[in-house]
Amino acid sequence: MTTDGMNNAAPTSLPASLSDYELTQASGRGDMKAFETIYERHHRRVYSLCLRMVANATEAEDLAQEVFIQLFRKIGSFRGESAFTTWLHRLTVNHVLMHFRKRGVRLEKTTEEGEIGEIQDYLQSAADRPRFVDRIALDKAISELPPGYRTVFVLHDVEGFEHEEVADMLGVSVGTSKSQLHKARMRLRELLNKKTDKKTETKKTESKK
Amino acid sequence: MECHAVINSLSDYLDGQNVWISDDEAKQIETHLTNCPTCQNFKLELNEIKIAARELPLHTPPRAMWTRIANQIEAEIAAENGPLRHAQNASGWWGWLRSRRFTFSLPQLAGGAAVAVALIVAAISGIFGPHSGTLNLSGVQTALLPEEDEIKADLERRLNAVNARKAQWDAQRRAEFEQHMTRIDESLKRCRYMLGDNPKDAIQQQMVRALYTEKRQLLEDVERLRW
Ligand SMILES: [Zn+2]
Repeated sequence: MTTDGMNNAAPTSLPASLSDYELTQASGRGDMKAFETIYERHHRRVYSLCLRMVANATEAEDLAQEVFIQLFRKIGSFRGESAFTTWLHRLTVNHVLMHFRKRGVRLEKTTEEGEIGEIQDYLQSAADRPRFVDRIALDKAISELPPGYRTVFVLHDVEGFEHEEVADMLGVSVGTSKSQLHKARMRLRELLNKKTDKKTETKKTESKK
Repeated sequence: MECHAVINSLSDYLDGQNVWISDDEAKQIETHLTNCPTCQNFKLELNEIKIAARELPLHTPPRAMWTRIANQIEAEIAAENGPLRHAQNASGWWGWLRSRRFTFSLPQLAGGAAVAVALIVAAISGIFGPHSGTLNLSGVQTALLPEEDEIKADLERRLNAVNARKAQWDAQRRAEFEQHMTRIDESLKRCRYMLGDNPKDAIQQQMVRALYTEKRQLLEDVERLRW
């Protein structure tokens, strides 16, 4: 996990052998070089998390930037009791959720109607599909989810939080978290299949020529 | 079991059969899946999505992001401290304090021994930018932690002791102290607001506790310094 972003790390970084904890200690004493190394290790993951949650590159950049500034302010309070990545991810999630709150996004009210009807449509066309979920396509499809579904999906399936944690973070019940997740997956499946259908159609048209 | 009931239970089935659904239900679903290619297909696809979600590619932000971060941090440090520098003497409890927290010295306050004032983890919640003023933080008055009333009473006692001596301080020392107290109190207000929203949030509880600890430590430091 700590190797993230190291392949494009700045040449001025501290020895890669320093642990995250050692780096946080040094950063806490105001060592910017150490903090830059932490940034190099984690910025892609933090940025990706923000991007997946807000589905907007500019917003994600602003948020990730704020996260690292907050991180610097409070890094001295990291005691190493939990994994640094866990702590940082939680910080990031909190920051994004606060951003949602300021914008007035109410996660639990974004449930959509009509999912049963959509299931029926797919019962007809579920046969011979490629048995592979393209990661890039999935990433794209996540950004097309309604915010409520997206948040739960990113927290649970992408970031690996448990339903109990997701529910606590969002201030909803475990049942809501579970049903939002299921709906999110169903919607993603639908979005991915639509994409696959389009591709197949294009191919058919091309081969007719 | 009907298709639509099976499909609605698929996430529970995939995420932990012993947690969200009983063995009995799981068996029913499995029986259905072996006989129904459509539902079987749903199961496979949802499972693929679940697996692929853990292997998504990472995105890289523009390189300029680091420059902006570094610039802002440096500007903040400069603005907050002006002429202040890191403490020179790392001996005794003071050295310990410095290793414990991010600190700045106030060389103009003391003669020989450098006096440092800890820069408290002001934005400890990590979620409050400069714009958080738009929130109504007027605050939850009831205790949000089981020990909160006790903590508050202890802090009030310490604060009263410090307040009694404050009249003898010079203006700058008083300003420094007030500034730190205000920062902690504002962070506390915001963290408690968040906690009030989700009282079960363990990490938010931890943050509130950490802020109370910082406040106590600041008051203790002042007592120990015999300001
Ligand atoms: Zn079926």
